[in-house]
Amino acid sequence: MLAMKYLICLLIFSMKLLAQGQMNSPLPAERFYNDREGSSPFIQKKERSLIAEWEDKVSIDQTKEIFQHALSRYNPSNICAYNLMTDLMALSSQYGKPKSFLLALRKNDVIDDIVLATLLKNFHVLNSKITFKYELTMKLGEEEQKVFKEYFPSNPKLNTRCIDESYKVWKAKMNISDRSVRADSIQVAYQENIINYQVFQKLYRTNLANIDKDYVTLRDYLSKKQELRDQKPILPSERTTLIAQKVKGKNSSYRSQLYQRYDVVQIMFLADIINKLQEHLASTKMILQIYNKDETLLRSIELEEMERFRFALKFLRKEMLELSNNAYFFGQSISYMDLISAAFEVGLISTKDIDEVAKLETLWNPRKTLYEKAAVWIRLAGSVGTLLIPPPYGFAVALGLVAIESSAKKSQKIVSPDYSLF
Amino acid sequence: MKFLCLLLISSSLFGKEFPVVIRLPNFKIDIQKKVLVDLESSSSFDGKYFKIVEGTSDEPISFDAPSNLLLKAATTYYHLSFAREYFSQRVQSPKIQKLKKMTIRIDITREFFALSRFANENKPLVYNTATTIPAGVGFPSRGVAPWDMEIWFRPKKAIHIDDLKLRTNLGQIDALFRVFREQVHMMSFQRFMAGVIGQTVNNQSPSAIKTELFWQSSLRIAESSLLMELFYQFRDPLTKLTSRKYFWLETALIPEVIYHEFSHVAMSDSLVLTHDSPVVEGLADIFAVMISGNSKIATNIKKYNTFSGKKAKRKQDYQLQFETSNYANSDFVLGLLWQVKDIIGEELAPRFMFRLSEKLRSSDNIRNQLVKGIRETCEEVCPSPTTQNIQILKSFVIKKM
Repeated sequence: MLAMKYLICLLIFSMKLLAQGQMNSPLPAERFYNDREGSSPFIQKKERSLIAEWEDKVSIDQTKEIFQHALSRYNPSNICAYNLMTDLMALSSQYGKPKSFLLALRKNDVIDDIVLATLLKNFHVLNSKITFKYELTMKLGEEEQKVFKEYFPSNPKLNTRCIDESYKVWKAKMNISDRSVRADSIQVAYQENIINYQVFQKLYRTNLANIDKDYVTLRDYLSKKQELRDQKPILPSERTTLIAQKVKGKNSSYRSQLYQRYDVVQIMFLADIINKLQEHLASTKMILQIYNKDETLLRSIELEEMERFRFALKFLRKEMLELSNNAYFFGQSISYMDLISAAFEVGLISTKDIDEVAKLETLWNPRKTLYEKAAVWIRLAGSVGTLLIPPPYGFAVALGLVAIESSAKKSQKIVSPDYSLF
Repeated sequence: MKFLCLLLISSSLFGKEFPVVIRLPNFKIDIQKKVLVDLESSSSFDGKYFKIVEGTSDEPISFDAPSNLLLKAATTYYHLSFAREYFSQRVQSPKIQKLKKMTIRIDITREFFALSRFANENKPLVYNTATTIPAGVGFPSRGVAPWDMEIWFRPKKAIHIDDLKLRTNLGQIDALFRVFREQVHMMSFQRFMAGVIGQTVNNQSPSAIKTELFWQSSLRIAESSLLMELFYQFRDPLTKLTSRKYFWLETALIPEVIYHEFSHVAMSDSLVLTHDSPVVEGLADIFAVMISGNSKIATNIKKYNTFSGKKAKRKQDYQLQFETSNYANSDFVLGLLWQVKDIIGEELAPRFMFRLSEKLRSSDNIRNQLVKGIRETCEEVCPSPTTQNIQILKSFVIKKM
């Protein structure tokens, strides 16, 4: 009995060591590999010439080797985009421009857009210039000093976070919305010797780049991605441009937004909604059963084809809303593209189907047609025009307006007709 | 030996040129000389696959027939051969590949009767239509021999508009007219109010000329509004006055109608010919347009048809009435299937529609069974079933189905 207890303890201890060992072993380049994104929005005409410039001098194998060499001193627990970018700049600048190097990595799918965006942002941080203001007279309060000391200790061994991670939590604690005021507080912290010059440089530049906007840290991204791949292995060749497109009004893609806003469990919940949608769409029978007070079946109503389709969409929208209100999502509003990105990320939709499944949103959220956008102005101009044209020629304008109204394409929203249950 | 027999048989088939009604690339009609193939007789319209007869006769029409009859016989023979080739090669229908010679009747006015084929002569005569007759076992005790499937083309007869129970599509036009009328009244009102406001402002420095101009303008506004209102209130008699008085349909000279009827033959194993239904007619229509290569049926052919014809691209939403046999000849199902054809592709469409017809029955409805059939066929035949099924269902939702 005692021996059994010792054996179990030994087993748990060795598993812990194994896990730690995995966390401390060097990161293979395969972890960064692009397995989901189609053509990159980062690579346009100008970038293609930069890539060509790089590829003229350096072969793809050499490029990969440079990348792997830089990764050699990092493991899943200490990976840091700022430090990695510093190393990549040092290694790649012997052959060409670091930006060209990064773009070449992306073009050859050695890295994906999320890694590229993170590294590019840190590249801009490293290249930005500090403009010293005149000596500031403001003083930091005790609380503010504490925050600086907590997240940027003078002994670097005490800080296990990467600068982007530290910046994010520091910014939240400081609670200063204005970037220039934050910059001033950083300068004052340096003036008062709360932080040293090295930390000051990093922090000042990071603040200047506003790095936490539309940004996911490498450590966060790689750990979530690995966990998702472990739970739901995917086919390697399934890539799509849809989720790599930039979200309107933001500087990051749908896929990047997914990793920024949600953790692994949340992503699985989101993907499950699309899974249910697909099951409902593929279903060949749906029956509504109505029961009496005494739990005897009163009647069964089999849904028709179109009713099943509309039911599937209604159910999806209901689930989306309920998930938003779920305590685990903390009231975050969930968009349909979040569901699509999550489902594709875990391999629940194929590249063949993703575009069409994504377009389903137009049924309950139609895009306004050109006519609908212009309709207000057409009617206004028409009304004013009729005042200026003498009668009876105003007939022509009225006829024109009617002709435009009847023939113009209007956006179609899903309606549940009276002869249909859904 | 077999080869010699085949040679003998094939050498007994003739080809001969006749004037035939055809469609030009711009969909207008023309009469051109075309070779009719597979003729077994050198003097009549008796071919390997079709025998063209007049009325209730069993004798094939002679090549010496009057020119009007000759044109109908040649046109039906030519287009039926074309349709047969389509079903045999493109659709690869085993039924059509093995089809025995069919009797095609033109200028037949007798009604069909299931027991004796031809209804009593005292029954009202039938014009302006075509119909596919199911095979019958006959009535041997009364001397009525069994018969195979036939296609009957009725002659045209000019019928006055008052005698027709027309189900028109004027509801939509009426709605547009109402909108136009409201626009005109609103315009007139705005103009008048603008004038009143202008007058009020000008009252500070009144002028006799300006006042007189205002009243003249107001009078013209009132006149235009009155004219509009008169047109609106008397629109029905005015429409009748200006529209066509007589209607007719010469089915034997309209290629798409010929294809439509032959399609009924091709689908007759599953879609029996006992009654008209929107699904059956719609499927025959889609084959007709696929064979002709144009989205319209019996339009641009005023000489032989004064009805409005059918258009696959007509924009119309689903209405419950479309399920009834009264609307069997509307083009809603045609439009629906045309959309499906666009989604699955031209190449696959013939086989798709044929597989679909095999899954359906004559009494099936549009909203449920037709849609179910389309989905199931797509699962079997479409290259990307999930994607294409979603596209199909989306297009149906937009049609308010």
